[in-house]
Amino acid sequence: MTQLAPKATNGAFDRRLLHRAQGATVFIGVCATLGLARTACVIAGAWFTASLIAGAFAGGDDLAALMPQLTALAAVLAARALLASVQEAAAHRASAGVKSALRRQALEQLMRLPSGKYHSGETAALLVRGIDALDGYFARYLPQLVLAAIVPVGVLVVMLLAYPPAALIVLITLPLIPLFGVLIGQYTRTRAQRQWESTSHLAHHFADLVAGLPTLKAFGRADRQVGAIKVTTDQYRRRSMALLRVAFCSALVLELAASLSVALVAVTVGVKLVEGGLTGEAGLQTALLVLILAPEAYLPLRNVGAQFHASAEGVAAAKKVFAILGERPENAELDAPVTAEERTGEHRSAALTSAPLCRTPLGRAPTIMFRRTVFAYPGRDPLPELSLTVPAGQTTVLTARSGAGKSTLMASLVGFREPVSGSIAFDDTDLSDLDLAAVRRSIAWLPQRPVLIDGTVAENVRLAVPDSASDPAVAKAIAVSHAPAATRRVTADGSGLSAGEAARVSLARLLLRVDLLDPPILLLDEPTAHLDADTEQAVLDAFAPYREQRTVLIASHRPALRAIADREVDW
Amino acid sequence: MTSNPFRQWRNTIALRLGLGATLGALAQLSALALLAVSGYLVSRAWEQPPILYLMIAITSVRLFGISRGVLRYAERLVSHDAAFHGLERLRIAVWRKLVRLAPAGVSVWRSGDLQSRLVDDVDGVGDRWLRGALPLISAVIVAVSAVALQAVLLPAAGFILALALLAAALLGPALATWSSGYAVRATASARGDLTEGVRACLHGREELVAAGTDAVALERVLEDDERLHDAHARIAWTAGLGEAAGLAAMAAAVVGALWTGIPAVAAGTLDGVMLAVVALVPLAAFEPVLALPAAAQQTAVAKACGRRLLAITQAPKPRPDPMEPVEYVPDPLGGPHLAGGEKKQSGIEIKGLSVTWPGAETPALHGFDLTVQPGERVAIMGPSGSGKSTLAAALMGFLPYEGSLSFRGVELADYDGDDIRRFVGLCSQDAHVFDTTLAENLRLARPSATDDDLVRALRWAGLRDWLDGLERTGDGLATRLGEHGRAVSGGERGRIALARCLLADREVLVLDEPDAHLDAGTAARVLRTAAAALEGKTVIVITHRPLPEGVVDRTIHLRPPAPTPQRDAPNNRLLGVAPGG
Repeated sequence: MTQLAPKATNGAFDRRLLHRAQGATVFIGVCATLGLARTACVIAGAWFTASLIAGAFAGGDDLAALMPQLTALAAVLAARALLASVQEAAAHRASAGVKSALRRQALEQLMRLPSGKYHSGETAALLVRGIDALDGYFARYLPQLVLAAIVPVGVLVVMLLAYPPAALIVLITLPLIPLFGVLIGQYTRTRAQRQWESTSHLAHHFADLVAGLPTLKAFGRADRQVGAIKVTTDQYRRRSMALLRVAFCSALVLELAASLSVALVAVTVGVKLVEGGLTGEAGLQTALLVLILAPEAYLPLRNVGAQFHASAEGVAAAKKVFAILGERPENAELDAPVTAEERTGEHRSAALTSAPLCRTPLGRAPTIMFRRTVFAYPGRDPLPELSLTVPAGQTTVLTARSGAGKSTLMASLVGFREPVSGSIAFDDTDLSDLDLAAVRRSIAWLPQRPVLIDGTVAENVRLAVPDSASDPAVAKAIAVSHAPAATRRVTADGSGLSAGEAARVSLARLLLRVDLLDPPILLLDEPTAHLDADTEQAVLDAFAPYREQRTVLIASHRPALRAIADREVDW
Repeated sequence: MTSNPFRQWRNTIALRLGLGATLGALAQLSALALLAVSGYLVSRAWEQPPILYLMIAITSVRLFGISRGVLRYAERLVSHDAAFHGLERLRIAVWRKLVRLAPAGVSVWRSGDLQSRLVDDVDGVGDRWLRGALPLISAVIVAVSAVALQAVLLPAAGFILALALLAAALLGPALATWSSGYAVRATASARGDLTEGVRACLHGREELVAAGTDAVALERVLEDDERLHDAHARIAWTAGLGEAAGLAAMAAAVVGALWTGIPAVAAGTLDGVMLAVVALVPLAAFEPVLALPAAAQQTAVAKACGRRLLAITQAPKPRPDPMEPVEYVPDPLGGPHLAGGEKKQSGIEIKGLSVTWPGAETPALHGFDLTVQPGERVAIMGPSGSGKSTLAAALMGFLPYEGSLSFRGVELADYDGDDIRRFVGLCSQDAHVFDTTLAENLRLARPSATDDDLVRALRWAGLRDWLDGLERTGDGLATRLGEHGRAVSGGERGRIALARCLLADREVLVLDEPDAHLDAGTAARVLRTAAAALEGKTVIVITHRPLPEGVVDRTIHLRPPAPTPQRDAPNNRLLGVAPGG
């Protein structure tokens, strides 16, 4: 329904996709070889059919005399069926490799781009379902495109040799199809663009309503949305139909050209036969050959049109993926060595974490100083200027109101936000003068919404450090933070755990990192937001020894956390 | 569903679809006729009759050459229009079902999944006619016509064509459906795991990068991709089977036509002029039949979509409405209400209340007692899992309950769900901000509210500064919010929900963690202002931490139900050590 007009294919896009595709040249080669074989089958089939009819009708041969040709025809047609199957299988195999490669590249790139630019749920759907839809492109559209390039040429050559006037008819009408396709495509392009936007708006409108259904129901407004759905869908239909009336014209041109030229060939050949221009058995055979071949010249083109629809979803997804691949990582996040490697194309995912693990380059428990720092988000008022000293080896609790920039402050220490003015220093060294990777190793950070991956609780806790952690260390961290059993299954969407349990798993992760790497700085963003007062106290008691001799920064309003603070900061 | 205009409307769609199918069949028949007449024309011309004898053939060849394309164009427009109409009907029907179920009946699905499923599935079902049924109808019409024509010319060839077409029509789609179903089954689990893994990885990117574990996490996720890749490669050979089966059947039909036609010509039972027709008819007859595997796949996809939709929409209604509901009469004075001759009953009275979520084995709230006087403000405090939100859902009429839960002396179970929500309002922690203007987002609570009402509600909900900011940098009340508009923080969203509740002006108000995303100072300010604005209303505040002084009249502590659920073992152990709170 959302697959609309066949737009002119984007050559640049095809080149990019094939360039990205591992083994794409081999694949195209296989397609071309199979395409040549199929062309030969088409021509041989037509030739045998024509000669059989001519032999029986004009030559008066009986079945026995024609048996070799009939057998040959059967063999050729069977080969044609087999080739179709082989081609599709080869295409699907090739497609699987290309999809995996694209996915890996996109994911690696996304891990380097600043968070928040792409909605994680939508992007996940794009990378899995979207890229999977490329099957339509690789297995159907591309082979058909190759056929469309080979078959008409072969057919035309044979027709030209057999009976030039018929070949001329095909030669004149055939180019009309891409010509009109491009013209109509250009006419509809701007309108199609708007149409796609309205399509996505419509999809979102329905999803938005579904997401808000509990809210609508609470206010007794749910039933009335029927009217809104009607209006949106009706608008969608009107706009789509206005576009389709034009877009289907290119299909109309194709069908008209194909069937009219067959009719013209039939009439031309027929008149020639009546006039005595083609006589005898050979004459009839030639006439039938061009008649049978004429539609075959158009068939691949018609199929390309049909398969273009099948490929549209995958192509749209691939374009979005390319947009992601085309982005440049932002400065604040640029790990120079990694990016350099990536630019030379020698990318390995292991390179995402640079440099071997080493102990902190910072002095033990540094003082952190924010000097007149200002943070700004695009489209919002900048946050107020802030000067703040986090004393070395002490626990500082930030109690500023929500939205005051507490999380931003922490993110800036791990290099994910850069102040637009002012500076951040560890002891007396400016953060920008330090190696970011080394700084990150000296910090254990518990963000507001910690990550969960598919696996066990233990596997989630192990995400504390790049190296593998020993079982006892993991067990200790889990025990101290009162996290659920190490073997409990966790799913990436968090459905295996309650919010409080998830909070304790991430706390265990923090403690494991502290145990193994001994980082001098701890950053905890609302660590106990989902815990009740008793659990909170138990967890904080266990946490107490970890705070000693470390610079600890906590964002929270909870009294229990304020109670453990050496210093409380509000602004 | 059975109302007359609705049926009329459906008939229009059926009419459109029927017209589309007819046009499609005529277009395909034109193609058949074009090839058949062309074959006759060439053969007859070879006999060199006077050209006048051929004029009818020549004219009809030209006619069929044009009519096929034009008919196809008309068919596409008509059938697409019909499909769009059908889609609209489907969306509304699905929506109506969902409305009955929300929120308790559908919360078992993750919301993001549910949404994309719904939108896609509705479209998928809508495609069933366009890409599934219409091709099938025209294929059947063309196949029957071709077999009839062939049988008139040469019965044996007609018989072979019928067999071949039947084989292609059955085997091709069956193989195609089997292979795509096989592909889905073989890849489903890897695909689901991969989606969730990618999402989690992207979502937690900063944490992973900071800890240096981004590559580790990424490789774990890509293991699922490896599984998906292997599954795809393993099943690749099945993909082309459907098409190959159709082409093989066509080969059999063409060879069969010649195999029976050639002896017939020699024997004189078939006019030699017609041999070309007999040989060419199968080519045209198979064209729509070869499209059937794709149509069958589309139908299979649509059926799967339909099944998933049914699974959502046929879930039992979580709280059946009473057969003879008590009519809710709004109290014009807003005070206690006298129902008939009963003695004056007022406020909310809860006795031995047990509430169980659909599908759950143990009640989330058990043996709960509470009496709230009209105009009283009560806080219910307890740790997570103690059933606070369950109580809110029961009060809203979203869930059935055991025990007694009465308002003004009438059991809530005796009210229609929609009526309950006319006097009970909920300010929920997961309130949705719609992708529309701020004003529209608020007006859904009270459509008749003036701009002044909206501003006042926002002020009471502690959003005055925020609104001032919007006036400066945006369009004030007309500022677009949501995914395609201005981003709204968790704290702002909670206060928008509060503003809605203040606007809605219900007699009883349930505030579910109204301070969830606020710092203590803001929370105290917002709650005090809201309490003042709600003077005289019956208010139940659900919270997991103590509320500021003066917001509520008293606080009730809630503990997890006695048969403790297994899911939070460490938490319960801790509670055992330090009971109370």
